[in-house]
Amino acid sequence: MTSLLYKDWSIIKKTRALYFSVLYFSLIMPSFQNMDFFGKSFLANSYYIFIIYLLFSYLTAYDYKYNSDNFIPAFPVTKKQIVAARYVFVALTFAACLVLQSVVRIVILVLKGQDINIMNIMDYGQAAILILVFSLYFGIVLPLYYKLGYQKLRLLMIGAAVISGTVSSVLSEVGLDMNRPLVMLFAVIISAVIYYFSFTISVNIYKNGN
Amino acid sequence: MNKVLEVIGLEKHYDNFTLDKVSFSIEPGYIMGYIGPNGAGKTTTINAILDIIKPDKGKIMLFGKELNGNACEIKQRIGFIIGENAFYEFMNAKEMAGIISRFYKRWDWGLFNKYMREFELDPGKKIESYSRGMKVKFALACALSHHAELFILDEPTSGLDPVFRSELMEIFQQIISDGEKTILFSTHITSDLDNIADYITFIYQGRIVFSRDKDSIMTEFALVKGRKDQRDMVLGSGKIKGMLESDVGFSALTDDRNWFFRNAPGSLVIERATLEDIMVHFVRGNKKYDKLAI
Repeated sequence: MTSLLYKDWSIIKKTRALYFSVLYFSLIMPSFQNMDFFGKSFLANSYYIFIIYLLFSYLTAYDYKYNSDNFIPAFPVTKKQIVAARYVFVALTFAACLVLQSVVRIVILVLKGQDINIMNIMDYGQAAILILVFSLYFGIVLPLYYKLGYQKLRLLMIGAAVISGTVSSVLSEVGLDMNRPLVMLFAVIISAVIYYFSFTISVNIYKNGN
Repeated sequence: MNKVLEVIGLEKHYDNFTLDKVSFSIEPGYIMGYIGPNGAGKTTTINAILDIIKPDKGKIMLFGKELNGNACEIKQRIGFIIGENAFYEFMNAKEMAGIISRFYKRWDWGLFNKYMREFELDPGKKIESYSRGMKVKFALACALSHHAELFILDEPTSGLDPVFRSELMEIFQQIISDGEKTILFSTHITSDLDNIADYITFIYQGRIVFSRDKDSIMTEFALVKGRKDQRDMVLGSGKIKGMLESDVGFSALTDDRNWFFRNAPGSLVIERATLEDIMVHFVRGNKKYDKLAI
């Protein structure tokens, strides 16, 4: 599995995906400064989906271009590991975005001379909504990717990314109360179940693929 | 003797193609040529052996173990070259080898660097800037750098000039010279196998036509050539596998050369058949005759 993750990371490093991610991040960073606006910004919410979408679509495009489905399974890995690595990569990217946003938030708090505590370095309600939207988006997109392939899915992916960003913003805007710990926990458990269920479907599709 | 590879009753069905009960085996220390025209089923078989596709039926045994259930352990012992591919070509050779090395427990950088030098490849150059022959050599260097025991090569010489192909054949012979390594080499360029293959497996339209040692093929198969008026007599022997006709005569393939030496009239010409002759006569020469012994 680590060999597959290293492969994905090597592709991302060599392509322009990272530059675009950093550029996009620096463009939306000003919206992070407004702490009240922070959890409800369309930009901030879309940022997660867009960055993961960007890295995922670079990976799948390069896999498609170089026919990696024709040689990666020939290495000493199982098809289940190949699919698992893709799910882990996407989840790690999401986690990295959360961490990065928190780091920016801490820097802003320091610059403003405010106290830093566990409650103000992250908007946990927003994070719970994002985890839910993330698991729904990739829970649907990844099995479709293994079923239909990159070519048929690429337009659908960007459309779904925009919709997911909008949905998560709307959920934040309408004031869905996700800040209660039990609600957050429930959202995380539901997300994990969706993601795992999606993974088993993808493994099945990929194992039986031709 | 233990078999390195045993393919038993392999079946794979697609909408427009079926791999039908494919069976053959290889013993250690030999080169097997897997021949057949384009679309015969060579790549489908190899993809099944490499666990890239899932067969509908049949069993693949490698190093005495079934592939299904032991794929990771088995693939540690296999080196491969697949078709036109040389992996992610936008990377340089060293970066790509860095990725590949992480898949293999016994990857040996010393060996990789040695082969890169031997094959005169610059590891700092992007793979896409390599020629087709250099890409094959790079894939071979990778396959050789993790102490593989079985090499599965799918059309490695396709698109290469004769000089490069002959150089590769020498390398393949060096690989098996220790008697422990084995090569399964698919190709439609049968002349590549004339000097190096020990066994030949011929597949056509998804079915194995024969799988046997090359020497027996060379001694038993022959081309029988004659005039047009001798055609029916030769077909009537029941020993013809394929026949091609021209305006002046015919050329027929038999797998019973001795029968023709004993029984055929002196006016018939009996010649040694090359692998290419055998393939061409099977493929092009069995379409319109109902008396062929197939």
